[in-house]
Amino acid sequence: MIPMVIVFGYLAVVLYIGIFAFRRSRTDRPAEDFFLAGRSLGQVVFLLSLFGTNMTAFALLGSSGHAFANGIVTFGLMASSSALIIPLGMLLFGTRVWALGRRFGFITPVQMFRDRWECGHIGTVIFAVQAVLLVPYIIIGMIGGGTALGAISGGRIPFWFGAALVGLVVMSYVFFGGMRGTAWVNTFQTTLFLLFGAIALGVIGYGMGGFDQAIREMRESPVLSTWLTRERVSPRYFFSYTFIPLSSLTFPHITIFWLTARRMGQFRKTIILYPLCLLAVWLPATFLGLVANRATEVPAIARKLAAREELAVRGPELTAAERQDRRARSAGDDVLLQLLRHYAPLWLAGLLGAGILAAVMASDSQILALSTMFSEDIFAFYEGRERLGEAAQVYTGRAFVVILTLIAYLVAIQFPQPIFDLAVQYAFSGFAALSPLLVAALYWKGSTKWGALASTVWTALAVTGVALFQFLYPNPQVVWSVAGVELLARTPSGTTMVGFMPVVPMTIISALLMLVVSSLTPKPGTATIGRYFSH
Amino acid sequence: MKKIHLTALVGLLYLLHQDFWHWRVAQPVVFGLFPIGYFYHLIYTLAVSLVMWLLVRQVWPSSLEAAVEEKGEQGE
Repeated sequence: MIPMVIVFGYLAVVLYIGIFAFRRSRTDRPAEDFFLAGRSLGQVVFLLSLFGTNMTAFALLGSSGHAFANGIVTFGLMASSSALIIPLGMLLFGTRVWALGRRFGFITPVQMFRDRWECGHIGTVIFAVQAVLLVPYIIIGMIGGGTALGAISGGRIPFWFGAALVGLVVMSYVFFGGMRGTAWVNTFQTTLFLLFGAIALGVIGYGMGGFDQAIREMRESPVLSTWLTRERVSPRYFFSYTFIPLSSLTFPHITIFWLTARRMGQFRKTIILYPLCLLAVWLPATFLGLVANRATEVPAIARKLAAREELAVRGPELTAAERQDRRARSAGDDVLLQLLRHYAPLWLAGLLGAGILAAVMASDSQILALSTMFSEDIFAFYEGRERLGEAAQVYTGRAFVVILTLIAYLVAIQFPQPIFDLAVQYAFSGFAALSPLLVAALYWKGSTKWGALASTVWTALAVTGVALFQFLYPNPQVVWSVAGVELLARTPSGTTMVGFMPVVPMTIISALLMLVVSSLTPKPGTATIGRYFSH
Repeated sequence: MKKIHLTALVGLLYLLHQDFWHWRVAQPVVFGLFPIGYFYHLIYTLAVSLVMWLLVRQVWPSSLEAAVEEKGEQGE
């Protein structure tokens, strides 16, 4: 009961912050104020909120689950690669997008692409592809909220009610507070889960009698000792993962967020401190996931380990359905919650549960970004603003927030989570494959709208192709090999091409298409190019 | 530092992320807690922060800021 009271208190605080932000809104430029917080965010809010926007449910729950199943590789695979690519991207692209937004008044990336390449409907195609790739995130956030509330309440809150409650709270503060409310809530949430890591590490370490014993036992175990190396994934797979953080440079909610900084100087500390924030969240999450392999006194974790062992020992004898069942039972996405429930005192479990909920509620930025894109790239572009005015545009944005949340909720309670897990996996690769658009728009005078269209259409086709392939070919199997070399294979975690993840060829081909098609097609006018490359 | 040196430094950092030489070994276990492949990436993340500090100091695009300020003054 105590954890639930704390978690409900947390939801009330979040709601209050959103409504307080509404009272601070300005009416002279309503659209810019609602969608970009009037381009006025200060240093602390900009850093913490941007970091929080990138940290989804996966950063805490998924990463500890991945480390539980795969060992130390998780940190290098997902955290240290992001620590390099994301801040570097902010320096090279974020600062430019911010400056262009200030000079030309852009609110969305599609507005910039339309202006840069002198196009209209091609911008609409880019909008459509970005929107389709973004929707699974919103759904997965809602599922995460329902699951987390259910786990924190010990199953007393049903999934449909938990998802509805989280959806309602997120919708309310996005609806009222817009970007300002979302950024303030994200700042509060990021502070919570930055603290969460250190506290959880201390409490669970104390409860387990120190971690050195767990690591020693893992070293001595013939099976678990591989968890302390990276042999459970191949170097090619590891290399492929360095392409994934490119997606966080082209996610519309990140690009839009870059425009909210009051001054460009606010990128400085954000770029320097971003890797340290990643370390503060991912080190505890992955380390706790790793040592959970020795937390056999936690009954739920002991059952997961037993299911994993059965799969390893009796795998070939089991039917496909039984193997699927054992995989589901050994999945580790809730190991962090299980460790907390076992080792933390009740009140602390409540506080830490609120920290976890903070991470899974990151879908607010995506909802706001889609609403911003719809009202700017579709409503305003197709003359809605001129006919009905700027205030009507903000009302449209708010109505879109409500409709989108409702649809996401209805989908979330109808379909099983693994579908959306896969969809999110495609979305990361899709947004990474769209990164040549941003690079070309900002750094290559010779890029054209036709090159942008070719990259965008390729991305849509490639994502659909990978999805269809994974639907048609069950894992694991080698689909195509030549002279003993596996060219195309289905693996439990997706697809590999010559050992690489699909994101590698998708991004390289997208960049080549931009290069070749742009070289063959007419360039934008010199006046446009001059505006972008004069500084 | 010249831009070419900094570009080479970033390239080197990217290559250092692919530390295949630690792939199949856990030893040494630093502080009795972190296998070497893990510890390497923790230190790597700290090193990235340091390089970002250097980049921000050396190649900060101040011309972009100037262009925005110039536009602001014209607007006023």
